[in-house]
Amino acid sequence: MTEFNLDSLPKRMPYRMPEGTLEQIERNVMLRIGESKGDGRRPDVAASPTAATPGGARTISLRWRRWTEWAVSAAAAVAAVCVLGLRPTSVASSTEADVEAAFANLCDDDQDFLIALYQDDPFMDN
Amino acid sequence: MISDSDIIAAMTQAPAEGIRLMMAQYSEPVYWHIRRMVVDHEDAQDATQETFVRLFRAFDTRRDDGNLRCWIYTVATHEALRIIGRRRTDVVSLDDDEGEALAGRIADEAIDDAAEGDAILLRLQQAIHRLPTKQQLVFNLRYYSEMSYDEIAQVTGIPATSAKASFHVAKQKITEYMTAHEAR
Repeated sequence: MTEFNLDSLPKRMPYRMPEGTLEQIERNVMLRIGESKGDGRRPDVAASPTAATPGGARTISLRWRRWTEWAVSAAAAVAAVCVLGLRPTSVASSTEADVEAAFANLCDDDQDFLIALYQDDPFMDN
Repeated sequence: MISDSDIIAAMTQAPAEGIRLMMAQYSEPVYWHIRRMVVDHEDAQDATQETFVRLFRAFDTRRDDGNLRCWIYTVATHEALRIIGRRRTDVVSLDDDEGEALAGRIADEAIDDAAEGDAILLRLQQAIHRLPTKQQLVFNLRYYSEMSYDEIAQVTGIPATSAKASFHVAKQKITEYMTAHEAR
């Protein structure tokens, strides 16, 4: 019986990588890291899409900011449940201070991610 | 060819551009490194994505004198091992024999995706998957990724001399398996 020689085999894999996989990986990674600008700066969360609208911009931006803060607080509460292991019933009874504290405990990246995620959420529109 | 120093400079000055450069250079080798461990394409894709997200977020905390390639492979390896570990928790009890059988079944399922005429390469993968996980890892990093033993030590956390011994034991076991199961 001839002994097998590992060095005689080509170093390629018997599996195929589906076409477009690498492009999909890049796309999904860029979505996850929340790229909104080509220079890699974090999304500008202070900018309102209606800030440039003349007359009424002040009213619109205030309302946008109010529900954005609510959305961020709600998201932070959910994050607190996942990160801190709080039981679901404790979320309902959390005070605003608890939610703010939970949000403050998140790292900058996670805070920015939550803000960027919910600022355009159509279900948050009043 | 994008150099590691170019990637590091870009990650420092413009992170989004930097991570794109990193993926341009490393996404394919990272994908294959992970897939060699986890076999399944979707798991490999998920773990590859998670790897680069983690690299992006942790870039500022990496050691300045560290080898970028080793750091990337370290994170990728952790993601692959996380998936393998998650699979094992799905089994109520898993002793070494069951683990070997699981590895064998996973490799068998890959036959459907194999290119024609790759029977011997598939059998080689089956032989590798019969090794203990860390021995698979050392073997793959040396044989496929062509890392030095010092680099393997950085990625795996085991001494370079242990990595060298582990590779030679793995190679011997693979040779014995392939000789006994000669392709027809």
